[in-house]
Amino acid sequence: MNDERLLVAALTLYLGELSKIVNGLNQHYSRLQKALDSEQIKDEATKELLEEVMIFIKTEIDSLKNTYKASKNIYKELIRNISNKKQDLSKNSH
Amino acid sequence: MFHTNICNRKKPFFKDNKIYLICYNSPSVYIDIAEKILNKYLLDEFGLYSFIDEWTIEDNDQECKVKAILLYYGLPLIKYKIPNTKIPNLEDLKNSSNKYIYYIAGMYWLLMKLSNVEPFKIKKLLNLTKKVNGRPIKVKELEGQNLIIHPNMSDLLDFYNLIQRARTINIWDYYNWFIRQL
Repeated sequence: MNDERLLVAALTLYLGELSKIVNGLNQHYSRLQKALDSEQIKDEATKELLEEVMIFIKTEIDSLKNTYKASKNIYKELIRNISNKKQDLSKNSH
Repeated sequence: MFHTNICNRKKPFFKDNKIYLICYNSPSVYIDIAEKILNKYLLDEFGLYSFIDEWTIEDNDQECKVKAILLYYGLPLIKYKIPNTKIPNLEDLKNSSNKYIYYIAGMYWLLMKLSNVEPFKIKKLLNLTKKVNGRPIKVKELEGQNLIIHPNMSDLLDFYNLIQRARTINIWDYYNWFIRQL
């Protein structure tokens, strides 16, 4: 397997894992959001602590999503390159 | 009524020069010398030394004051709120309209701060929420408060693992793994 193909294989796993982490963090975020939106919390200290934690989680999620997008673009580019090379090879063989 | 931090009858059990760790996992509340429960490197790595406060405990019907780190189901709490900070504290917990949510937010806050600590060490901290040995005591500042909750440790561990993976995930680990398979 050449480097490009290895990278495609690695990216496939990497993207899958990024996606799992984002989904997991999103679940925790939604749970906290639900708690914040509920009428159970009436004091400022609990609200502020929750909000601080949620900002942190959101920042992590956004950063992971950016990494995901950038990696996905690289993945697409590699697939395109591999496919072009394949086509070139088949043309040359004819 | 109290001497500085020595029980007023019998031979004092608690020493002035020791820092204790109080594990509040109500209905069980236990105390031991902090470095006996977690070594000093872990106490330092978890930032627990900044949570040392003076607590009034009742031990064998005697009251005394000790310098201790209070862990409320694993969450370190200082006694009073420090203005303009979010450091978990007993004052806010007592006033919280939902103590479980305050605890969860506090634990997430703590785990975020500890995201660089290795997972096996974090498990040691979370295991303290199940600690049932040491010297059983009562903590006067916590008496008469409705502070019993039933935390879900697997949720906290899941959150910590996600943060860890988010911080450490690296394409080259996957790439090198494939190379090793060749």
